[in-house]
Amino acid sequence: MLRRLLQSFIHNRNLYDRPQDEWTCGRAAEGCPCIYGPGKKGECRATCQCQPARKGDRWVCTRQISLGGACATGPMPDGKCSCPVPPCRPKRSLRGHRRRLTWLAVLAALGGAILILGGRNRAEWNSPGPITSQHATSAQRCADCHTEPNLPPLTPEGIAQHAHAQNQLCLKCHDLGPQPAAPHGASATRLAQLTTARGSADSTGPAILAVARTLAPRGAPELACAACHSEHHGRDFDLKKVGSRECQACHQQQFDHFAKDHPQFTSYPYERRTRLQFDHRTHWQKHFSDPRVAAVAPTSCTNCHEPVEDGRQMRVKNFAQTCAACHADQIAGAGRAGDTGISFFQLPAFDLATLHQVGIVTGDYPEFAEGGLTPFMRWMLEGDPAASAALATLDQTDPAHLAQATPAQKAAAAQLLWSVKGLFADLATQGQEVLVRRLGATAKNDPATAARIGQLPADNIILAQQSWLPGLLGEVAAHRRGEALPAKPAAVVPVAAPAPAPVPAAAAAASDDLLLTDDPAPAASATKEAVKPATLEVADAEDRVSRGGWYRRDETYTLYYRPGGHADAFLTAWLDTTVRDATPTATAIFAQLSARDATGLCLKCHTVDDTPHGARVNWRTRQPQPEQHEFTKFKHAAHFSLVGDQGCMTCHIMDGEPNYPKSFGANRDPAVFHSNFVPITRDSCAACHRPGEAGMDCLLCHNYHTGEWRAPNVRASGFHPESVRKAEPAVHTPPKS
Amino acid sequence: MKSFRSRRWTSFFLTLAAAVALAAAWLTGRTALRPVAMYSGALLLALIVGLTLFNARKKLPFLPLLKASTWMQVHVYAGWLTVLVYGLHVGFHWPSGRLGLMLTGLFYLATASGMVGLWLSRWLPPRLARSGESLIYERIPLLRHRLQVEAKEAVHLAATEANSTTLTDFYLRMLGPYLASEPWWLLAMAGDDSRHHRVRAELTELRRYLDPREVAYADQLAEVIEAKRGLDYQLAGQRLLKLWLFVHIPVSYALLILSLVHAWLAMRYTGRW
Repeated sequence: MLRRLLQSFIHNRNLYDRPQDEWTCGRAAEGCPCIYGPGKKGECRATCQCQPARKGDRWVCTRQISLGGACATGPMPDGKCSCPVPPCRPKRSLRGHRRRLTWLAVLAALGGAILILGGRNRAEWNSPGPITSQHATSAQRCADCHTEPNLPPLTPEGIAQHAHAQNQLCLKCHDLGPQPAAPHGASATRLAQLTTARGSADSTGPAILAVARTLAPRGAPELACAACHSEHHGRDFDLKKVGSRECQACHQQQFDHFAKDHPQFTSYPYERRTRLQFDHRTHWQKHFSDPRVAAVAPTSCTNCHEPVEDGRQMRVKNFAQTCAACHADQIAGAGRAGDTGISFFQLPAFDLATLHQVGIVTGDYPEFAEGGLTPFMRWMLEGDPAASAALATLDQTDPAHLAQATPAQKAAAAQLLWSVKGLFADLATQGQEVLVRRLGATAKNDPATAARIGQLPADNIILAQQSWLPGLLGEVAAHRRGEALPAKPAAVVPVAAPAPAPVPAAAAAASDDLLLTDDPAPAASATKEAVKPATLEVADAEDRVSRGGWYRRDETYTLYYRPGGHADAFLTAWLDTTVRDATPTATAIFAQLSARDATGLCLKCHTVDDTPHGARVNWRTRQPQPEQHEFTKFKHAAHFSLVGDQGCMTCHIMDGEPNYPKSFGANRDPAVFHSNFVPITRDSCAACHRPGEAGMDCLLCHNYHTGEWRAPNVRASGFHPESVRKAEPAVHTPPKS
Repeated sequence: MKSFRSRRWTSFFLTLAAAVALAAAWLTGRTALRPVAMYSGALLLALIVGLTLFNARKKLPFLPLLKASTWMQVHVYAGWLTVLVYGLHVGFHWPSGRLGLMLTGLFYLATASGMVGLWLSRWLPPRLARSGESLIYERIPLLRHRLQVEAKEAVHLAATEANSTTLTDFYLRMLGPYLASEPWWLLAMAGDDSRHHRVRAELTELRRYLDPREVAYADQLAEVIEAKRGLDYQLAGQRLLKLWLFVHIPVSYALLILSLVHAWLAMRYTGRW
C-alpha cells in the first residue's frame, strides 16, 4: 500500500500534461517543465519561466503556482522575466514512438506494395503459390494462363468476358470438345434429355444441397474452369479433386449416400451389344465341352480376356490367341462345300445365236459360258458409260435369253458383250491399272484400293485370255477402230463342257462347318481310294492357293479370289467399301460377301453398326479409347483382388436365357440388344463403396468432362499453345450416355 | 440499462450467430461452385478496414459516432469474426505464395497482439487498481523524481543531525540506484520485485546501527521505498497496456495496405465474383 497519495489533483498545482504530443519537455521528469513545451519537431522553445504582465506602470511575475508561483526577484525593468530557463533536450513521447513505428510500418508496406506491383521480380511476388507440376512444365509466364486486363472487371459483362477469355487460355491446351464450358461438355438439349431420362425421383440429400442448387451458376454464359480447378496450391496439389456435393449442386436428384440413394443401375456395364457376335452361353455350355475341341477350349475368362495397360478395360485377346484354335481353317475355306473362292471376273453367258440371227457381230466368244455378270464386274462396267447405258437398257432382261428381247435390248446386249470383252482385253493388256480406274479409286496409292485389287496377278489374266479368247486382243482392237468383223465367229473356242470341280469327300460330307452352325455335325471320315496316277497329278486350282490368292476355272470362264485366312485385306476392304454404299451394285457385293455362308464368313462374327456417319463393320472388339471420356469409368485391375471363387463371374453373371442372338441378324442398332450377362447392380458396388472403405465420391466412378478429346500436348521446353492447336486438330464426337 | 454480463452474452451470441451464418453461407456457396474466395475476401477486407477505423475514431473524439466503449466492443467481437472469415477465405490452408505468406504473418501478428491486448486490458487494470493509488502514466517520472529528492533530503538531514554516514552510505550504495531505476517490464505480470525486497531488508538490517535521531529518517526512507514499489508496479503495468499497441497498430496498417494490394491482384488475375 502506498504510503500516501503521490498525485495532487489541485488544478493550479499540476503541470499541464500533453500525452498526445509527439515530444515532452526534457525537464518534465524533474518537475520543472517550461510553460511552452517542445515544438512540433522536437526543438526546445524554453526562454524563461514566465511572461511578465504589465499592471499599470509595473511589471508583475506570472509564474504558475505549480512552478512555485511569483518569483521573489520579479520581472526586469524592461518587462523581461528575470528567471531564465536553460534549454532542455525534449524527449519523444510514448505515443510519438508508436506513431513513428506506425509510419515506418506503413512506409515499409507501401514500399513492398510498389515492389510487388512494379518490381522486377513482381511475377514471383504476385504469384499466390507454386503451380502444379503438370502446369509448371509448360507455363513460363503469368500471361500463359492469365488474361491481364488493364483494370479488374467490375461490370457483369466485363466479368463474363474475362471469364471467357480466361477459359480460352485453358482450352488452348485442354481440348474438351465443342462446348467445354457447358456442364459435362454436353449441349443443353442433351442435358435436358439426360435429366428427363433420369426422372424426378425425390432428393434425399442434405438441405445444403438444395440451397446450393439455387445458387449454382445456372444460366451463366460459362462456368469458369477455376470454379473447380484451383491452381497455385503447390506442386502436388490435386487439381481434379472436387467434392461430391459440388457435383450435385446442379443435379435435380440429390443424395448423400451411394448405397442408399444413388439411382439403381439399369444395364450397367452393358450399354451396347458386343462388336463380335460371340455367344458366351452356348460356347461355355455347349461347344467348349465338346470332346473334339476340349484340348484347345478355354477354361477361364482370362484365356480370352486380358486387362489393358492402364488396368481399366478387359480387352479381348487377338484372333490368333482366341478363336483361331477352332475357326482359322474354316475362314480359309477348308472343308467347305462348293467354291472356296469368290467369283470376281467371269465371262457371262450371251444368247449368241439370237444375236447372230439379227446380224450382230460378236466375234470370238465361248458358247458354253454360263452365269451372269458378277457384282464386281458390274461395278467395273458401270464405270464405262456405254456399258452402263447397255445395262440400263437391258434392265432385268437376261442377255443369255434374248429370243423375246426387243431390238434395243439385243443391241444393248451386244454392246455389253463388247464391253465385257473390252474390259477383259484391258485387264490382259494393262493389268491392275485398269482395275484402279474402273473401281473409281480417288487416290492411286489408297491402301483400300490396293486391298480391293487384291494384288491381282496380271499374268493370270493373260493366261485366262489366251485360254478363253485367244483372238480377243485383235478383235477388240479392230472393234475399237470401227473395222468390220466377220458376221460369223472365226472360231469357236474349243473348250469342253465344264466339268465339276473336284470336291473333297470329307468336305462334301460335312454340309457346313463350326462357324456355320452352333450344332456341328460330326466330321465324316472318308477314305480315298488310293490310285496310282500315270503321270504327276496337278492339284485342283483351289487347292493350289490354299493360303489365299487368285485362281481360275476354264470350264466356267471364271476368275476367283480365295481368302488367305482371318482379316483378309481383300474381303475387309470390299466389305468396308460396300457397307455404306447404297447403290444396287454395292449392295449386291455386300450381300454376296456378308451372306451367312459367304466365303470368309466375315460377318458370321463381325457385326455391322449403323452410326451417324453411316454403317460400319466392327472389325475389332472394344479397344481402349484413352481419348473417349464417358460419364462412367471403371478400373478392372483395381478389383482383381476382390473377386471370389467365381472369378470374373463374381460380378459378370451369365444370363441363362438364350436371347443373345436376337441382338444381331437384321438389327444394326447396337443399342438394341440382349446381353449374355446379367447387369451389375448398385448393391454389388455398394458392398465395398461406402464411407470408411472404398469411398463413394462421385468422381471415383464418374467423369465430369465427357466427350472425345486428346490429352494436352505441350512441349516441356516451352509453351506454344497456338502451335499445339494447329498441329493437333481435335476430333469431337458427342459423349455417350 | 443492461448489465455488463448481459451485454457480453448478447454480443457473444450475436457474434456466434453471425459466425455460423457466414460458415453456412461459405459452405453453401462453395458447394454451388460460387467464387466464395472472392466473396469472403471482400468481406475480410471490409472487416479489416472497419477494425482499423476504430483507431481513427479515437483520434476524432468530438464526432458523435457512438461511444468509444461501444466501438471497442464492436472492435473486439468483429475481430473474432474476422478470424473466422480469414479461415474461410484461405480455406483453412497455409498459403504458399510470398504475398500470401506475408499477409498471413501480418494477420496472425495483428490477431495475436489484439488477443494479448484484450487479455491485458481485462486482466491488468483490476490488479493495478488494487495495488494502490492509480497514477497518470505520464506523471510517473515526475513522481519518481520527487521520491528521489525526498530520499536525498532525508539522508542529508540524518547525516547532519546525527553526524553519521550510515544512511548516506546506504543511499549511495543501494537506495539511490534503486530509486533511479526503471522497473522490469514484466513486473506487473510477475507480481513481485526482488530488488525492492533486498533494499527493504537492507534498511531493516541497518536500523540496529542507527542513532535514535536517524531512526525517524529511516522510517521516512522505508516509506519512500514502499512508494517506489507501488510506482514501479503502476509504471510496468501501464507500460504493458500501451506496449502491445506498438505491435497491433503498425501491423494492422501494414496488413491493410498489403490486403488492398492482394485484392487488386486477385481481381485483376481472377476476375471472378
